[in-house]
Amino acid sequence: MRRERRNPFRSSLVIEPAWRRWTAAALAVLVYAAAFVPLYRQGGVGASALAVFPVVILGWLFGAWGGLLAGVGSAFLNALLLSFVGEPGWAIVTGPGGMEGSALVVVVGAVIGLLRDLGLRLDRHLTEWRKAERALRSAEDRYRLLFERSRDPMYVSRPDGRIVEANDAMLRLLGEQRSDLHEIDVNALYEDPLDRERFMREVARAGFVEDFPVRLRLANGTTLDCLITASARYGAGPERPVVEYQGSLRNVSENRTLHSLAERRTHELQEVVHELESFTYSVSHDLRTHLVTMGGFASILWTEYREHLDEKGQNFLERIVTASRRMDAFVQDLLNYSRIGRMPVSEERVELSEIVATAVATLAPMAETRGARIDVAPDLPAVQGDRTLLERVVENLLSNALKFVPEDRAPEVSIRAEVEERRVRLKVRDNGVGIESVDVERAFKAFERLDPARFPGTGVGLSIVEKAVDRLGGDVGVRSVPGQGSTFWVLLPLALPAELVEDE
Amino acid sequence: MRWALLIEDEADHRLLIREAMARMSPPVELFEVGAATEAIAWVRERAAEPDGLAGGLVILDLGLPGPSGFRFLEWVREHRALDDLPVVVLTASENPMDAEHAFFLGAKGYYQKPADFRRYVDLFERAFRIHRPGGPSSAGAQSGS
Repeated sequence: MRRERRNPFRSSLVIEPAWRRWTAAALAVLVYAAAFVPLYRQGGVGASALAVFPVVILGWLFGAWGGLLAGVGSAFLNALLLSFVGEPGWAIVTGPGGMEGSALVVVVGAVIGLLRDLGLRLDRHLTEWRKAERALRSAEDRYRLLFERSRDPMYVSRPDGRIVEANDAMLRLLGEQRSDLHEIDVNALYEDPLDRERFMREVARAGFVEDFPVRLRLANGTTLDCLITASARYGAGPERPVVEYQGSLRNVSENRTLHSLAERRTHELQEVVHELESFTYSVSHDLRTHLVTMGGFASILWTEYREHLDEKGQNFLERIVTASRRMDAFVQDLLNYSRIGRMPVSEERVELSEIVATAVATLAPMAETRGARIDVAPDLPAVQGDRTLLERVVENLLSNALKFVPEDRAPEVSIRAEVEERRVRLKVRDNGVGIESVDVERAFKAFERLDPARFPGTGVGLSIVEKAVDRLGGDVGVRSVPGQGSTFWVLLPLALPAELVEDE
Repeated sequence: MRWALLIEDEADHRLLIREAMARMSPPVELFEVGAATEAIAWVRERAAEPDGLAGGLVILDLGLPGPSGFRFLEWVREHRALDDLPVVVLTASENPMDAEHAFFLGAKGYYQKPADFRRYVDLFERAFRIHRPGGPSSAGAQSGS
């Protein structure tokens, strides 16, 4: 910021630029030289007294040293000028009264110059002082604005509970008028007086508090949960007592409201999910009640009364038996699917090699009928998760890989795993029919079947995998070449290092 | 002769189970009741006879009109004289929570009704083998399972 206006006081002391000053000085000397002899001849005035005129001007222009030199120079100039006009110049100047006069002129020049120098110095100090004052005022303005305009409630209070200052946000929070500011008793605002005591003790001890939780009760009865951040101002004296608190409040009541709202919603959602699950269960139960009757009597007919029917009748009966068997599998899967969603999930270190071995053993009869070859990598890593869910995942992936292979081809399945940072990618590759990329999303949907005519099943297998992986905190996907095979992968959390587990 | 008490309200299922029992050998004498209260009366009467409860198995459906199957299990557990009477649950649909509760109340087994008739006979034979080992003569012995 440039100075807006020159100081008039200063401009009368210093003539700038330098050439102007020298011109003025030369002019003064010339005028003096021209006027000196006639004035001296007129009489009545001493040569030294006349010299006061230019010396004062030079002292004013050049300061103390300038005035001093001008005084000395004027004596020589006077002598020179007088001898030009035939007077005994030097004798007059050094004669009786001349010396004293000259000395006086020197002193006058020096004093005038000194005054000018002092004036300049005073001016510099004044300017600096004014600048500092201005800076101080703008700083104060800035912080005051910050205080007043802040949307955070801020205040200055005293240990006796009086409020010294508060911004509008603070007044709004307390629901008070500015005119009543000094009537507010902070002590009475605390719902629990012990909180106030703890606050004061903490500030006295540490000099400040940060996010100190308090509950305020306002005059209108509402309560506010607030966090106070404040620091102490100390007074004079050997004990440096706390005289003021400067602080700000943060109203967190709303956060609590939002929090409890979210909690209530979550609770409601959980209830809905729970209701849906019991609905699924009771529907499956009722379905099965009738299925038991239908399937039961159909299978008695099939085993014991088949001979009484002709070939056509036997064919019809067989269809009923097969259908009820399928429906039984379907309802069973429905129950399994809903169970995956609501069973509690544990988190333990599980060796993938054990899980895979179990699944291979379970599906051995199916693999044998199809003449399948299952190739399992020797060193599968351990993962972190729930054993039952992991069993469901691997078993369903494996049975999926065995199932969707055309009749004329022997299934070839390979199971591999890679560690990727903190996760394990388990891959199950088959040589089955594969999945068109547009069908991938459908493949994971519950009860969706891509080719029901060729491959029997309920369509739940992959959706159980997806749901289980989701509950394990993992991910699932597939890469497939239609006609050549698919590679299903699941990403699972890597097991925690053994030493970490032992520390628990 | 070994016997079974079937507590079942569904007439179709009673008929199926009756048919299955008729195909077992050695034969099983089957008694049928449709509610927990009737079952309690039947067991009381039977317990009064000497060795009346030996060699028998109670087959219980959980969903009954009136007091539930769980209530019946509680009643059996409250009577020390019935400690040796095995009760197995036979239900239309498996529910892990129900199973846990039933075992907690002293049920000896928890089975799901098969949709294929041929599997009933296997199921009951297995239940007798586990809970009444050694056949009818040593029926009073504790199975310990």
